[in-house]
Amino acid sequence: MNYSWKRGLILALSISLILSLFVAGLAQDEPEIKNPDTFVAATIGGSASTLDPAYIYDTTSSAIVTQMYENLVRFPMGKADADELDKEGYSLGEFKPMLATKVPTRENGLIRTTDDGKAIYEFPIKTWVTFHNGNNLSPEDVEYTFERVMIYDRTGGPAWMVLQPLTGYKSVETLVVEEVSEADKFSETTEEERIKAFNEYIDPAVEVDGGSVIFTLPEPYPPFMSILAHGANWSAILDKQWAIEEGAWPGTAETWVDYHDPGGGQAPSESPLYDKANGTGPFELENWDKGNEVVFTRYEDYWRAPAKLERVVYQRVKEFSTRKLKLKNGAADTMGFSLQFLPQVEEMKNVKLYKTLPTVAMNPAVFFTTDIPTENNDLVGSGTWGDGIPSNFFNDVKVRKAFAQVFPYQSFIDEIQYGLGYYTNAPIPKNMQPFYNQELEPYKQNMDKAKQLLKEAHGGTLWEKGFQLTILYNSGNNQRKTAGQMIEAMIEQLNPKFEIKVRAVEWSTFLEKLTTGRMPLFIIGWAADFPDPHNFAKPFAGPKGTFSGFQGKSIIELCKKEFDPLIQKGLGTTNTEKRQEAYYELQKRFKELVPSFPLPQQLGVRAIRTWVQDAPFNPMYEPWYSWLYPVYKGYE
Amino acid sequence: MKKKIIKLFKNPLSLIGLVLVLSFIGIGISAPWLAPPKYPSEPYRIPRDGWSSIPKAPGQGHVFGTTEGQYDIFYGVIWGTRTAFRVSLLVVGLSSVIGVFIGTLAAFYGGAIDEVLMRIVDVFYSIPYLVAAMVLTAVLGRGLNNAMIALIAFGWMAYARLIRGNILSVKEEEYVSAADAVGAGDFRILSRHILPNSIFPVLIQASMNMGTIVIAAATLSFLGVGAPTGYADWGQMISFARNWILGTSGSPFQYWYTVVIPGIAITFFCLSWNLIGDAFRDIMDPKMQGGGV
Amino acid sequence: MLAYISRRFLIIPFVLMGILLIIFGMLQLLSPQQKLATFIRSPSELKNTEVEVLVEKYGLNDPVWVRLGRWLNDVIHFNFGYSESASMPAAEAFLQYFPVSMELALWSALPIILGGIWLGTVSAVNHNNVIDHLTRVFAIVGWSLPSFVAGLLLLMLFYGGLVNWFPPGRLGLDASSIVQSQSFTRFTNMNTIDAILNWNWFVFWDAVKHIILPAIVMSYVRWAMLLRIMRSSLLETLRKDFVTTARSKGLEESKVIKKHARRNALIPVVTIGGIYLAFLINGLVVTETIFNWNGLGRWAVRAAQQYDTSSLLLFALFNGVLLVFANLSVDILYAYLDPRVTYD
Repeated sequence: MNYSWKRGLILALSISLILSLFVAGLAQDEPEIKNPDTFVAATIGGSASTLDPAYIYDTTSSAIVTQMYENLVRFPMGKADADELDKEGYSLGEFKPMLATKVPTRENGLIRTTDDGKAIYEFPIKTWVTFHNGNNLSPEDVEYTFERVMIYDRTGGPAWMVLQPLTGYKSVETLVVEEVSEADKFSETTEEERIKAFNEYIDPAVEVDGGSVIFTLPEPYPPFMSILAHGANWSAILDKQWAIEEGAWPGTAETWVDYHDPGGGQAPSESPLYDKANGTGPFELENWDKGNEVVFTRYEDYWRAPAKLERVVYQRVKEFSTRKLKLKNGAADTMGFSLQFLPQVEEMKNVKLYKTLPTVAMNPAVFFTTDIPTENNDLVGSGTWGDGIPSNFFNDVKVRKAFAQVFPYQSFIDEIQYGLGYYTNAPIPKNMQPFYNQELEPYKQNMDKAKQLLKEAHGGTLWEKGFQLTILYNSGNNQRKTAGQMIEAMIEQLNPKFEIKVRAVEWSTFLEKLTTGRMPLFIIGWAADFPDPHNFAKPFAGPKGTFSGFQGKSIIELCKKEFDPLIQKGLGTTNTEKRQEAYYELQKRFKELVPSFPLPQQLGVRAIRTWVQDAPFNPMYEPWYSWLYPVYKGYE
Repeated sequence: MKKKIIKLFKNPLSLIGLVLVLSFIGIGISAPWLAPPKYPSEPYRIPRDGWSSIPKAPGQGHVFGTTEGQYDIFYGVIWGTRTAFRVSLLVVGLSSVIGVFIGTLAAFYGGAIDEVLMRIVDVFYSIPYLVAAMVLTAVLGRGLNNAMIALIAFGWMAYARLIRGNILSVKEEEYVSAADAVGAGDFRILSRHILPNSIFPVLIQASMNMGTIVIAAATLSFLGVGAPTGYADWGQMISFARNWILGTSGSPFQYWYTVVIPGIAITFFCLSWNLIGDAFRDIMDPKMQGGGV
Repeated sequence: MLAYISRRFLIIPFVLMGILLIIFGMLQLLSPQQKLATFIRSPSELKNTEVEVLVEKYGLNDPVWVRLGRWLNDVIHFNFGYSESASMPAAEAFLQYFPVSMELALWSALPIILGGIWLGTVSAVNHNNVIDHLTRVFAIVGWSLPSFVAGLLLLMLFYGGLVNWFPPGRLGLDASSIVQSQSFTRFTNMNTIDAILNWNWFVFWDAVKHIILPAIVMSYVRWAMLLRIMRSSLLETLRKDFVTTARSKGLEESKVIKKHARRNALIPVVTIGGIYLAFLINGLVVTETIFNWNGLGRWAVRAAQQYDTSSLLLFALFNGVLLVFANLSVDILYAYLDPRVTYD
C-alpha cells in the first residue's frame, strides 16, 4: 500500500513539474539566451585568406582583423537600438581618436601646410595602450606599420591607398623606377637605387617626433584621414617588436626588397604574420580554423573597459538554409544573407530585422563598351547590323541613353529589391554627402523617349536593320542576372528586330571578357574602400579607372577629356565647397554622356537576434559584426 | 534471345519500368501540346511569370507552381523530359561507341597496343569522375553541350573494358580461328564474327547507364556548371529549390513542390531504366540460369 | 602473385603521370586571362595592377610543360602549392579536409556494407516472391534517387519540420568548444573517433547526431548494387553441392544460409570494393556540398569551379593512388578468399 502511495506522489509531482515547465515555456515570449557570453555570427562570405593586415584586400579577412587591431582614428558609430536605428550618430566625414589622443585638424594645428605645399599630419599617440602580448604601444609601432605596408605592396593588394597619398605613386615599384632609377623595369633597378628610394621617399613619409607620429604628404590628399580610419586593415597598427620577432620585415632600408611582394602576392601563407595576430583591440585571436571558423576571446587588459562579450565566433556557413536554421534556433546571433532571401528572414521570430540602413556602394551598375573587337567575339553576333552589332554600337550616346531609359527601375525596386531600392545618379553614391548632387534627376524608365532615341541613333540604321547582342553576368548573382533579363525583355518589346541574349558565365570568363573589352554591356558593382567621392569617381570615370579603363577607346577618350579634369579638381583641394562643386559637375556630365548608369541601389539589411543589445552602426563596417566592442546579450 | 526478351516482359518489375519509359517517351513527344512554348524558337527556355524569387504554390495558371525566379515548374518538368532523353541518349550512345572502338582495338590487336590502351583506361578510371567532368565543363564554358562532352570524355572506359573482355573470350572460340585460317581480312573477321557475338552485353550495359548519366548530368547542373539558367533541365530546377527547403515558421514544408516535383521526375526517369536494367541483368546472369531455389 | 603485385606497383607512376597530364591538359584550354580568375576574385583586386603584369607574374602564359615541370619540382621539395580555393597551402588544406571526409566515408561504409549484404540475403532467400521484389524496388529506388534530391528532402524534413533532431554542421557550439579545448586531445580529427578515445560521450553523441543525415544519403543511394551482387552470388551458392548436402542432412534453412552459404557468397562482393570507393568519392562531392561539410569533396567542387590547379592536382593524385591501392588489395583479398584465382 505504502509503496503505491509513494509512486502516486512521484507521478503527481513529476506531472506537475512537467506542466509547470510547459506553462513557463508558454508564458515566456523572450526565449532563454543561448550562449549568453558568446556571440556567434553565421557568415556568408568566402574563407579568410590571411591575418596579415598588410596583405588583406577582402572583406572576410578584414572583418577578422578589424575585431583585433585598431587604427589611429575611427568613424563615429551610430547605434542600432530596439526600435529604430540612430542614423544620426554615425558619420563618414568626421573622426574620433582611437590610438591617437587627438584627431588632427587645421584648427588644433595638427594639420599644417609647409611653404613648399606639403601637407603635414601629426598624430599624438596614446601611451597607456598595450598589445595582446603585453607590449606597450609606441609611436615607433605606428611608423613601422605604415612603412611596412608601403614596402610590402603585394600585387593586387591594398598598399596603393597608403602609397598614393604618402609618395604620389600607386606602387613602390613605380616609385623606384620613376624617381631614382634609369631603368624601365623594377627588376632591372640596382640595389643602391632601391635603398635610395626607401631612404628618400618611404622613410621620410612617416616619422616619429617625441610622442607623436608625423605623416608628410607631397600634396594635399582629401581622403587621407578616411584611409587611416578603423576598419581599414592596411592602416591597422602592428607591434613592431613582435612582428620582427615573428620574422616580418626588420625595418631596415637594406632589407626591404626581400620583404616586398612575397610570393608574387600569390600565396598569403608566405607572410610570417599569416596566421598570427597581436593587436590592441578588445578581442584577441583564440583559434582560426581555416575555412570554417574564427574564435576570439576578450582581451582583459584592453585600454578601455574590457568588452562585454567573452567570446566571439565567426562561423562560415555557405548554404542559406543552414544559416537561417542556426539563427532561428539561436545557435547564431546574426547571419549574413543576400537580399533575395529577405522574405524568408522577415517572418522569423525573435529576430530583429533592419532594412533601411544606409550603404556606401555603387552596386549594381550597367556599363557600355565602345569600339568592341568583333573578331572571334560571340557576344556581338555577326559583328554587323541585323544579326549582330557593329564595333561602334555603343559609341553613339543616343544608344547609351536609350538603354538607360528602357530599364524598368520601379519593378526592379519592387520585385527584386522588395521595395528597398532607390533611384540614384552615378558615380557618387547618395550617402556620400555632401558630394552627391541632389539637384540632378536620376534616369527613369521612359519607353517613348528610348524608342525615339533608338530611331535616331546611327542615322536610323539601327532601327531599320535591328541588332543582336549578348549580356553576360557572373553566375550566382541574382540581382545582376535579373537586371540583364529585364533589359532583354524591355529592348525586345521595342522592335521585333532587336534581340538580346542573357547568359551566365563563370567568373573567370567574365574576367577575361572584361579585361579584353569584349562585352558590349556588363553589369557589375563597386563597394567603397574608403568613404570618399574620389574612390567612386576614379573607377567609374577615370581614364585608367577599374571599369572605365575597360570600356573601349571612345569612353577612355571621354574620361580623359570630360571627366578627368573634374576628378583632379576634386582631389586637389581639401575645401569641401570646391570639392562639392567639382563632383556636382562631374555627376551632371556623367549623366549626360552615360558611360554607365546605376541601377536602383539597395538599402542595407541586417538580421540580429532580439537578445543582442547595443549593436553599433556605420556603413564602413562591413559586415556589421566586425566591431563588437559595445555589444552584449540580454533583455532590457 | 527471344526467350529472354519474353522473360523480360513477364517480369512485373521490368514491365513497370517499360511502361514508365514509354510514358516518358510519350511526354517527351507530346511536349509541344502539353506545354506550348512561349518562345517557339527556343522551346527549352522556361517561361517566367514575373521576376520575384519567392516560389508560388501550385494553383491557377501554374499546375505545379513556380520555382525561384518564377520559372514554371510544369513547363520545366515536361520539356526537361526531352532534355533528359537527349542527354542520356547522346552521352550513352557516343561514349559506348568510343568505348567499343578502343576496346575492340585493344582486344583485337593485343600486345603493346592492348597494353597502352588499357593503361589509358586505367588513368581515366583513377580520376574522380564527377570532379573531372566538372573541371572540363567549367573549362569549356557552362552549358549543356559542354557538360555532355565532359560526361563522354570521362565515361567511355567501362564499355572499353567490357567489350575487350568479351572479344577476348569470343576470339578463343573456334569459328574465329577458322575464319582466320581461311584468310579473311581483319575487318571482315571483326565485323562478321567477333563484334556481333560480343556487342550484346555492351548494349545492355548502355541501357542500364541511361539513368546514371541523367543523374550525373543533373548533378553537374545542380553544382552550377550544367544547363544555362532558365533552361528546361531537372537538375537545375532542383538547384533552384536549394534555398527554399526551410519554408516559413507556420508551415515548414511550404515550398515542398520546388524540390519534390522535379525530384519525382528525375527519380522516376532513372527508376524506369534501372528497373529494366535490373531485370535484364537477372536474365543475362549465367549464375541465374537453371532452376530457381 | 608477387610478380603481379610488383607489376601493379610499377604501373603507379605511369598512372599518376597520366592523371597529371589530363588535368594540366584540360586547364591548358583556358586563356591566360581566364586562369587569372584563380587569383583575382573581385574587380577591386584589379584596381592597381595591369592584367599583363599579373599574367606574367603568375607565369600564366607559360606552355604546359613548363607549368608541369614547375609543379613537379615543387612537389619534389614537398611544396604542393597554395590552394586559392581553400585559402591555405594545399597540403594543409588536404590534411584538414581529409579526416572530415574519412569520417563521413567510414560512417557510411558501415551501413552500406551491412545493409547491402542484409538486403541481398533477404532478397535471395525470398527469390522471386513479393519480399524479393519489395527489397529490390526499395534498393533500386535509392539507386535512382540522385543524392542531391535525397539530401534536400532529408534537409526539408529535419531542418524544417523536426528541428533539432539532426542539427546542421559537424558539431554544436558546446561540443565544438570542448573539442577545441586543451583537455581534449585530437588524435585523428575525426570527431566521433576522437570523442571515443577521449571518453567524452557528450561530444560523441553530438557528432553522431550531426553525421547521421549525410551518412544516410551516402548509403541509401548505394545499396542497390551490393544487393544485386550479394543476391546473385548467394543464389548461386545455394545451388551448390555442399549446400545441398547440408540441407539434406536436415539443417534448418536459416542455419544453412547463415553458416554455409552466406560466407561463400561474400567472395564476389569483395570484388566490387574498388568501384565502390570511386562511388563513395563521387558521393562525397555532392553530400558534403549539401550538408555544408568542409571535406575533400566540397573542396574539389570549389577547386573545379575556380580552376585551382594545385588543389585539383593534389586531389586527383590522391584519388589515383587510393584507387590503385584499393584495387590491388581487392585483388589480393580475392585471391586469398578464392583459391581458384591466380594472377599470372
